[in-house]
Amino acid sequence: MAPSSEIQSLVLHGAKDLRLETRPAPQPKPNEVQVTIKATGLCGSDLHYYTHGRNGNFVLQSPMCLGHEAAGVVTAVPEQPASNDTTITPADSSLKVGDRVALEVGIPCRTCNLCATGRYNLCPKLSFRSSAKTFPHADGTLQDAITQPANMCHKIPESMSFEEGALIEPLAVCLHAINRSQTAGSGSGVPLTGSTALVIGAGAMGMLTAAALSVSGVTQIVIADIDAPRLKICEGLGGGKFGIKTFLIPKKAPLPTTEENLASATELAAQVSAFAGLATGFDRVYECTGVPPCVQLGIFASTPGGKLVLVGMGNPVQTLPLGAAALREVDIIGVFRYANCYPPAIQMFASGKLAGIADALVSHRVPLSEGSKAFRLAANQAQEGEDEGRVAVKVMITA
Amino acid sequence: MATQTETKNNSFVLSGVKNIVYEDRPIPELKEPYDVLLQVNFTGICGSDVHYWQHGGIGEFKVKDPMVLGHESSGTVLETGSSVKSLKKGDRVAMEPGIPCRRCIRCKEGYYNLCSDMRFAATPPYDGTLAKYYILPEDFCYKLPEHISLEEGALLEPLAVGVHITRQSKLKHGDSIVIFGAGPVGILCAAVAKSLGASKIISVDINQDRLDFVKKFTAPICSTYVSQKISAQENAANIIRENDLGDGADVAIDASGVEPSIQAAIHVLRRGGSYVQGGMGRDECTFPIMAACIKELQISGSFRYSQGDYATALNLVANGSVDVKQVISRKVKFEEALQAFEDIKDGKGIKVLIAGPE
Repeated sequence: MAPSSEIQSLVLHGAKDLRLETRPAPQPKPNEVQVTIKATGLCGSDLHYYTHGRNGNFVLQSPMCLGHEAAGVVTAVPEQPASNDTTITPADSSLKVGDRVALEVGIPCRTCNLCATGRYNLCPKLSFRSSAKTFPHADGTLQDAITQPANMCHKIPESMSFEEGALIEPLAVCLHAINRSQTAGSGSGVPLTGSTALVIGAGAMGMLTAAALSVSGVTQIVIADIDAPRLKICEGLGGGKFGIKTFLIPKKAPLPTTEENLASATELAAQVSAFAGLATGFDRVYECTGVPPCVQLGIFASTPGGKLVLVGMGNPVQTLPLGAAALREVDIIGVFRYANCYPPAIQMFASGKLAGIADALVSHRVPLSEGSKAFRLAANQAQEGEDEGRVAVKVMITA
Repeated sequence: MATQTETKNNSFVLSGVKNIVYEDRPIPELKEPYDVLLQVNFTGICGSDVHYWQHGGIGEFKVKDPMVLGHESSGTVLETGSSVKSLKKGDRVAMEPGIPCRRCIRCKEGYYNLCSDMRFAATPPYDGTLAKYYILPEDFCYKLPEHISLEEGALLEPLAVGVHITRQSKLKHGDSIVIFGAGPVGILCAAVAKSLGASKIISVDINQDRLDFVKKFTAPICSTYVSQKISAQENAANIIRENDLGDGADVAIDASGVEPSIQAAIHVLRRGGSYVQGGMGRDECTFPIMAACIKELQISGSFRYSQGDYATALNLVANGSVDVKQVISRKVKFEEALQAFEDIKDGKGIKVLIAGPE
């Protein structure tokens, strides 16, 4: 496929102000490749920028392309030879035109203490596409093509579709959470095989986490949500062979006092544990909503000595029953993106164990030229008939 | 030898090196409130049982007095102590045959397999399970779900060994693993590794039949390698090249106990890789210590099983991840138990089960 000299980019200028613009096609510098984007999934952070022009404390300071969950095909390699400067972009000349890749879009500095100890996701100088955290902003993947350091492009096998390739990024988040639920806090905890896990939140993250847990040998997985149609999708994941049990949380308005809300969360935790036949709670809880009553539920539903992983990003300041966690040695574990998780994520798809996941999760596909529609769908603000009667789980912009 | 109808608790006893007799031992009695009296239904034979029979000892453990052999068993509950809540008469269970003291520092730290006063079936001076009756505490009996047979229950012990070895290796999803030795333990380690999501499993042995078996048993993920009479480094290089292991395997397990395999395992690992000594052989060997040092390998021993391993093994069988039935080569009657020992001594079959006395 010959790269054209111009590309289309979907640029965010402010809240709800997306504009399709023409730009010169980027040319790969030494150690980079040009990738034509075939699929980009939309993430909650993309939605925050679209809806509010900001994501928490990160405010859009100049027009920026969104999108970071992407896969595509290499369409140009540099003409210049690979440079020897490996501090920033280690040489990798093994990619060729036509290679299909999943994109890891956070570029770390590789020289700080965090990078050198394997936690490059926390690098303070990390530049992440589609994030306004650093300035100048690095444009996201909602464009026809981008250039990317070659070693941050991970080859995917022919057996994987581009949509599965675009799910690698969120799956990497799940795998990082699962890794942290085994290595962070007070020791590794019970082995995954034969353990029990509660996933709170049946969005794309919750669904992927539940599937990854099943593939990793966790034998009892319950996923809880307030939304019945999403739970129905979970039941069918993997043709039902993931054995994921679903629990519908009754939708309730918050009660007047903290004490009442915590009592309600305690009661709900007891019900979910009883539903799973567990006397003292779950070995590991993956909280995938960020919503305070769910995080409270997560603490109460952990068994003593268990682990609660905060995958969902919600209110950064919350009222939580800290004593219920601390005095039962429940480790509360934060996670941020991923480090070294793309290869195992690709391997998980390539093994065939996640067959059907993309079909179950990708609810809507929209071309780049109709980008605003994709964001409306993902934000549950679709116009009449736009959702074609399907609940939006993972909306993808596909080429 | 007294006939079945005359004996109360017919027992298969090692009375001296290579000397087996059947004795009618007293029926054991419930002593503690958490004790459970079991009728033993099936017992598998392990290399250690054969070794005690042939040599009268293993390492420091020496048989001084006649000892009942066997420890890989399943049974049926006959009577329960006054505090037993989770089991009742007629329940079928897998039997975890080692009772720790629960008071020493290793027990209290959570490593009961390393208990200094462990009472393990068929490790002198404690009698084993090749008898009609056996007593175990409630928490060392694992109730079998309806769809799991007593024969499969007897396989949980070696499977728990495989689980423990694989846990020691810290194998994670996506890792590559090379397992030296395709005997029952090596085969079961491969099955456990598969269930944990290993991306590549390579089984190594000198016996082609065993390699064919493990390849089929863990299809499609397992490839095999026949060890050659070349240096350990060359065998390792061949394995790495033939299986595209890059810098080397993430994990290597020795389930053979023999020196050339141990050496090849160290050489087949990548920098930062993980090695577990599961197999038992000679006390000392020539070990590539510099390779271990320079590659910063994590090296662990592994001994029997500890908290959670039996439960994990049961889960793996109950949810269909590991089909232990395939590992059972044949079953023999209690009176023919010696045949099982001869089979295993001659390397025939993988796991031979001895039915309990009727």
